Amino acid sequence: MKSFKDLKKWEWVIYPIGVVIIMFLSLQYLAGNQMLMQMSDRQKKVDEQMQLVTVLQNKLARLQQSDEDTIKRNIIYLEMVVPIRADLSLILKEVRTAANEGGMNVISYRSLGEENKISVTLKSDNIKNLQSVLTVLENMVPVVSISRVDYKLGTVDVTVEGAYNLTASAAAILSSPLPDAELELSKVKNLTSNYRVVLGSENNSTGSANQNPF
Amino acid sequence: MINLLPVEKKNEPAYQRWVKFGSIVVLVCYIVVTAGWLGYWLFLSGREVKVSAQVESLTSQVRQLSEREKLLRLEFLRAKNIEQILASRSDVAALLTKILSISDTIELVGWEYPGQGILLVTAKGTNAQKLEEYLEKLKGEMKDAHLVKLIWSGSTGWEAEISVGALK
Repeated sequence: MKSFKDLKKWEWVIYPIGVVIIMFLSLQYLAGNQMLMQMSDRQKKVDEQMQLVTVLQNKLARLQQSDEDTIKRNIIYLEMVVPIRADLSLILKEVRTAANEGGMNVISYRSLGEENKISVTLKSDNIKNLQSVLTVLENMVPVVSISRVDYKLGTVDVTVEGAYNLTASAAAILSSPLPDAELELSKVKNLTSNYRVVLGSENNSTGSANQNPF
Repeated sequence: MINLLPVEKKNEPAYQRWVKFGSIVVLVCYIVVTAGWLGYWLFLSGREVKVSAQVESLTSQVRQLSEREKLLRLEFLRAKNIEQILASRSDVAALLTKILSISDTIELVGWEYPGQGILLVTAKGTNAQKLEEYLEKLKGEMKDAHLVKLIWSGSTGWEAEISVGALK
């Protein structure tokens, strides 16, 4: 009985020890199941998934709003501005149209061995005609760039380079937001709003230019 | 007032009572925090399942429109490319227009654009002073204008070859 009474004296110590044991065991259980470690991972995963949901919702809404026929028409227009492959006959037709309008005569032309480059010799007594030719050329679609001009005493050699775009297709990227194609298209339309379209091929020797339909 | 505590409790020292009380308070706080934490764990688990299902559903809907997405991306890439082509083009006509606008006192007999924004202008004047004045005008309007060659011959008179950079 005396030893029981001695034990009773230490009863108060059991409380903190018990609390420490309970905390230790429960924390060990949680750590053993890796719940503590997984908590931040799970939180991160949920946040990432939520962001993906937002991206996909926006993307889906934009895809549903867009019209496939309109996109195809826009792509055809862009191909007209810069074709997907070079066409020397079309570049020559543009040069001839520009020369006609600028009052210069095409004396000769030759390919420079590259699929999109042509050198043309034009003749006129007035350098102002060259100015007109260059202005017309730089405001035509398909887009060309003038890479060399050599004017001497009424004769001018012009090297014209036709721009072309090798991007034939694009892939769908599921988790990536859609780029703003409309904005880019409107920028191109603004830049080329005063440009004229040269249609057809070199077979039509007279050459013709129409106002940009866009 | 009647004290109902047993005699041994009444005689218990104060520090022992505080230790017991403190232990119980710590345990209760621990249980509350752990319960909250477990509740949040369960909430996250439920949310994860719900969001995953949402992602799966949206993914399948977006996949159904993948052809449209490809076309939109193609439209974007082409437009971007055209924009870059137009931005990188040298405006040769504008250079010539500028040269012509300041060439009223001389005769422009040669004009060469070899690329990279450099021009070689060959001007003919009635005297060397006119050509010098023209060079000064060019220096005012264009970058890096400088005289390359000055020639005089009995048949053609004074001729100057001037190299100029792009527009200022």
